Amino acid sequence: MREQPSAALHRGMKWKTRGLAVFFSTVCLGGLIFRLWTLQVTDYEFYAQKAADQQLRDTVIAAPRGDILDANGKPLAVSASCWTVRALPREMADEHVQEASRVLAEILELEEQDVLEKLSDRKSNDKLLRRRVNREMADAVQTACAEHGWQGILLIQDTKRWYPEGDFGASFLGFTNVDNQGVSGLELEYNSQLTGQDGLVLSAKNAWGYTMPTDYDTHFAPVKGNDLHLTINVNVQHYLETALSYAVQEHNVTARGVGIVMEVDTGRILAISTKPDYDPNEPRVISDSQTRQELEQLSGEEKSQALQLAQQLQWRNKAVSDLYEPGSVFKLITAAAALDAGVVSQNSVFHCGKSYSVSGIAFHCANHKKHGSQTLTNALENSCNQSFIQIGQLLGKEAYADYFAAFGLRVATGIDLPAEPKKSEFYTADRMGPVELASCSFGQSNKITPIQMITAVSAVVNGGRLMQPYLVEKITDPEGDVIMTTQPQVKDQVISEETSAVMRQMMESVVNNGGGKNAYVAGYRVGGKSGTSQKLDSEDESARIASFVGVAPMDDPKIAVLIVLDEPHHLNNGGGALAAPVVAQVLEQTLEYYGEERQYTEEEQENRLATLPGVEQAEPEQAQKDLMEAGFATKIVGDGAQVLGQYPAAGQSLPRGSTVVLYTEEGWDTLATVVPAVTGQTLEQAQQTLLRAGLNLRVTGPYEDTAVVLSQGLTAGEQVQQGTVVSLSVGFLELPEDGDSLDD
Amino acid sequence: MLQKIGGWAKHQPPMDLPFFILVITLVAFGLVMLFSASYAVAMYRRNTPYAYIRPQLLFAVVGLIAMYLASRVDYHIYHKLALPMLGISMVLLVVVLFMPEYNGCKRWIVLPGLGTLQPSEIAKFALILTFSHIISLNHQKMQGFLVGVMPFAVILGVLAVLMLLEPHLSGTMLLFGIGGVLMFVGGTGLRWFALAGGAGLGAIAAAIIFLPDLVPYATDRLASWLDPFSDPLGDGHQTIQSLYAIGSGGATGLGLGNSRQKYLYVPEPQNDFIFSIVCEELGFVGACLVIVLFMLLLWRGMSLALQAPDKFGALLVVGFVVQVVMQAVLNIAVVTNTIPNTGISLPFFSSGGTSLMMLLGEMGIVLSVSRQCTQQKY
Repeated sequence: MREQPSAALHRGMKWKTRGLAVFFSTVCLGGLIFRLWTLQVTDYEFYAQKAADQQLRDTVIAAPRGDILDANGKPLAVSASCWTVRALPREMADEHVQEASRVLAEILELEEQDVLEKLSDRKSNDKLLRRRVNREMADAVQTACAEHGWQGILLIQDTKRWYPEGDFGASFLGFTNVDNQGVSGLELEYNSQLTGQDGLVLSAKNAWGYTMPTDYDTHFAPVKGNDLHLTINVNVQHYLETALSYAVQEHNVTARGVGIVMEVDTGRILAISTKPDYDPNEPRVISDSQTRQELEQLSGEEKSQALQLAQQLQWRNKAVSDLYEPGSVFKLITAAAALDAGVVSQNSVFHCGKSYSVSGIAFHCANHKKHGSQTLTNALENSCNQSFIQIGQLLGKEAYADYFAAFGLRVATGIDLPAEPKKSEFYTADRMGPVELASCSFGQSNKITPIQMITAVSAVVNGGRLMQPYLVEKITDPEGDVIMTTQPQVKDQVISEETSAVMRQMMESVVNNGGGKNAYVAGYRVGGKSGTSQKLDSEDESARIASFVGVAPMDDPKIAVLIVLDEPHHLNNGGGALAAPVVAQVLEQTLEYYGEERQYTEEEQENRLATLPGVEQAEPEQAQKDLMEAGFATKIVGDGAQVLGQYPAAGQSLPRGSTVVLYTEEGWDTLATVVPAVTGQTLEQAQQTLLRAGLNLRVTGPYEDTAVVLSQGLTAGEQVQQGTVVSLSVGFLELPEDGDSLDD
Repeated sequence: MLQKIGGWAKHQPPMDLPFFILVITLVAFGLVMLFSASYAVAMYRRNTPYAYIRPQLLFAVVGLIAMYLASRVDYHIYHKLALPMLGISMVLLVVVLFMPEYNGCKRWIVLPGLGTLQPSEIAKFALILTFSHIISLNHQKMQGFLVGVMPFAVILGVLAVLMLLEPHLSGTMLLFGIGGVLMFVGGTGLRWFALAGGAGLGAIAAAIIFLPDLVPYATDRLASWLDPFSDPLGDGHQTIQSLYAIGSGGATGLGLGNSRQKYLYVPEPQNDFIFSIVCEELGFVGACLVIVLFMLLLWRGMSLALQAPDKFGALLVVGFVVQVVMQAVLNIAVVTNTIPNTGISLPFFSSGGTSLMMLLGEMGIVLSVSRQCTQQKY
C-alpha cells in the first residue's frame, strides 16, 4: 500500500482552481455565446440570405403571355406550352457523355459535336441545349434519359408564342423575341399588359447541384398576362389581305402596299395590313420570294446585313410608320375645308384651261387635259388640279393650314400601334408661298401616313368628327374580368354636318360618274377618291403611288377603305385603275359580311343576284318555267321525264340570267368545260367567251360593257362543270386622270 | 495492487451523480447531432446514412462500460502507470511518423478492425497522469525552476517536438494549455509563466526575422481569418460555409435534421464542423445549450477537484475536465471564426470512435476520484 503522497488541495490551489473555472466560464464560453449571438441573431439576415443564395435553385416557370383575340374572340396570338432542354454536365456520369451526346443531338436536331462539347464541360452546372422544343421532342428526351439512366438533363417548362392564323395580320400583331417580349406591333405596344408574372419553384440543392431530399420547395404559380380583344375582324382582315396581296403581286408593287378598313363613326380599325409582310411565327424568314432569292446570292457579312435590312423592312408597319404623298385623295380635304369655310359651294364654277399659272409656274392637269368649265363636283370627279389650285387660293394659306391641322394631319393619330412618326411633313402657313399652296391644294406637297389619311377621310364623311383610331377594344385579366375598355373618342369637330353631307354626295358622284368608277359595287352606294402621286423624293421620276379611299354606304357611311400601292408597275399606274378595284372588293365583302342590305337601282336589278330554286324531281318543262320566273336560263341534258340533277345546286345565289344545267337521265356524264382566259378582255367579250364555254359569271366592279376584266376568280385552263360561276373583277383603265402636273 | 483491481466488485462509495448525468447527457446529445450532421455526407460517401453513427454508437457503448469500470478503479493506481504511459505515448508518437500520410499529416495509427488511434490523444492522457503525479509529489517545491518548471518543460518539449513533426499544431497547443493549467494549479511560480510568455513572443519575433518565408504564409492565414470572404473559394471556403450554417440557424434554428448546409456545403460536418450544424438546426438556443452543458461539466468537475481527498486526484480531475472544456472552446472558436482555423474536434460530438472511448475512460477516472470525495455525495 502506498502512502498518501499529499493531502487535499490547499487554499491557494483551490483559489486557482476556482479562478480557472471562472475564467473558462466567462471569458471563453461567455465570449463564444456573445459571438454566437452576433452571428445568429444580429447578423442573421445576412447569413440566411447568403446561405439561401447558394442552397436554392430557383427554376423560373415562364408565364404565358395573354392572348390576342379578334372582335369575335377568334384567337390571333396565343401561348403554347413548350420545353427548354438544359444540361447539368457535372451531374452526368462520365461514361454516359458520349452516348448521351449522340442520342440527344439526334432527338433535338443539333450537331453532335456541339452537344458533346457542352456535356464535356464537366464542371458546368448549366448548359442550354435547345430552347422551346415541342412536346414530342421533350417526351423523346425524357424517355431517352430514363431508358439509359442519364442524370443531369433538365426539361424546363416554357411558353412559346403561336399565331394560329400564320402569315396573317403580322403588321398589327407584331411578334415576340426569345424572351417572350414583344418586338413590334401590338405585342410591343401592349407588352406590359400581355406579359404575365413568371412563376418560380425554389428548391433546395446541395453543393453539387442535386435536389435535396427535403420538403423545402416553394412554388409561386405563374400568372398569365392579360388578353387583348381587338376591333380587328378576322373575316374583314382576310378580305383585305387577300385582295391587297393579289394587287401587290399582280401590279408588281415594289415598295409594298397598304390597306386599312376603318369604321368611320368610331375610328375602330376593322382590318389593317401591309403587304408583303411575314409570318409572325417565323418573323425572321423573309416572306418575299424574290428578296429571298436575292439574299441567297450573297454571302458573309454582306448577306447578314442585307438580311437584317430585309427583316427590318418586312417588319415595318407601313400603314402607320411611313409617310407618303396622298396625292389627289387629299383633294377631299381641300374641298371639305373650302366648303366648310364657306369660300366655295357645291355649284361654284372653276375654269380649267391649258395650264394655270401661279407666280410664273404653270400647273397642268394630268396628261395636259383641259377640263373646261368645272363645278366643284366636276372638279372632284375629274380630279382637276387647276380647279383645286383656285379653290386653295380662295381658301387661303392660313385657313388651309388650320384645316390641315384640324384634320389631325400634323401630328401622330395616337393609334395604339408602335412606331408612328410624331410629326408628318407639311407646310405651316408662314412657310407657304403661293406655289406651295397651289401644290398642297391638290395633295402633292405634304407627306402623311395612311392612318392619318383614312382617319381624316372618315371625319369628312361621318359628319365632321375626327375620331381617335384604335385597335384594342378591351383588355381582360386571366379571370376574364374587364380591366380596360376603349370608348370611341371624338378628338375634334372639324367640319359641319352639312359640309359632310355635301362631301358624301360628291364622293358618290366620283364613283358613279368620275375617276372612282372602278370602286363601284352593285347594290351598295359607294363614294371615294383616287390618288396618283409622284414620289417627290424618289430618284425614279416615274415612281408613283396609286391609292384609293372608298366609303360606303354613302347615305349612312359605315366603312372606309384605303388602299395605297407604293410603286406599282403596270400599264396604268393610276389609283383609280389599280387601287379602286381592291377597295371595291373589300367594301363589297365587308358590307356583305356585316349584313348590309343591298339597294339595287333598276339597272342593277337585272344583274343582281338571285337565289337558285330547287327543281329536282320536277318535270323538265315545269323546271324551266320555275327557273325562268326566278330569272334563270336553263340547259336541259337528256330526254328524261324528270329532272334528276341540277348544277349549280339549289340555294346558291348567282346573278340573274345565269344558265342552270338540268340533267334528266340516269348515267349521263356531267358536262365539263375548261375555264377560258378572259383577263384583259372587255366585259362584253368576256361574257361571250364564258357563255360559249357554258359558264356563268359574277361581276365585281362597274357593270359596263367597256369595263375591262382585271382578274378572274378561276384560273384559266381549269376543268370545271358547266354552269359554274366565274367571278370577274372588272374596271376601267381609261379614267379621268388624277395625276399631278409637275412631271413636265 | 491486484487487490485494488480486485476491489472492483466490492462495495464502493457512490460516484458523483451530477457529473455522471452531465456526461451521459453530452454523449446522448452528441450522438443525436452526429447522426443528423453526418446523414448526408454518409449517404454521399458510403451510400448509407449510418456510416458514421453506427461505429460511433458502438464505441459509445464500449466507452460507457469503460467509464464505469474506470470509475471503480482506485485512481491512485495511476501514480504507477503515469510514467510508463508517457513512455508508451512517446513511442507511439514516433511510430505514427512512419504511418502513411492523410491530408498531409501523419496523425493516425491504423488498427486493423478497430479503427484509428491518435497517439496525440494518448499523449494528452499521459501528460495529465504524469504532471498530476509529479506535482502531487513535489507540490511544496513548485516555486523553483528545477522542480517547478524543468521536468514539465522537458516532457512538454519532447512531446511538442514529436507532435509538430506530424505536424499537429492544434494538438500541441492543447498540450501546452493542459500542461500550463496543471502547472498553474500545481503551484509553478507565476513568474515562470510570464517568462514563458516572453520567450514565446521572442520566438515569434525570431521567426519573423530568421524565417521570413513564413511571414507571407502567416499573413495569408491571418487575412483569411480576418476576412474569410476575401477568398470564398479557397482558404475562406470552410469558414464561410460554417458561418452560413451558424448564421442561417438564427435564434431557434431550422429544426433537428433540417440543416441544409450539411448537404456537402460544410466540409466535414460530422467532424470538426459538427457544431455549425448544431447551430443551424437548433439555433442560438441549441448552441447555448451545448455551451452550458460544457460549462456545467466544468463547474461540477472543478467542485469535485476542490473536494478531492488528495492533490493527485484533484489534479487529475482538473486536467481531464480542462482538457474537455479547452477543446470545446477551441473548436467552437474555430467554427465561429473567432480564432484562425485549426483542426480540433468537439468532444462528445465529433465523429471518432477511439477518441470518444478514451474520453469516456478519462471521465471514468474523474468519477473514480468522485467516489472518494469528502462531501456532497448524492
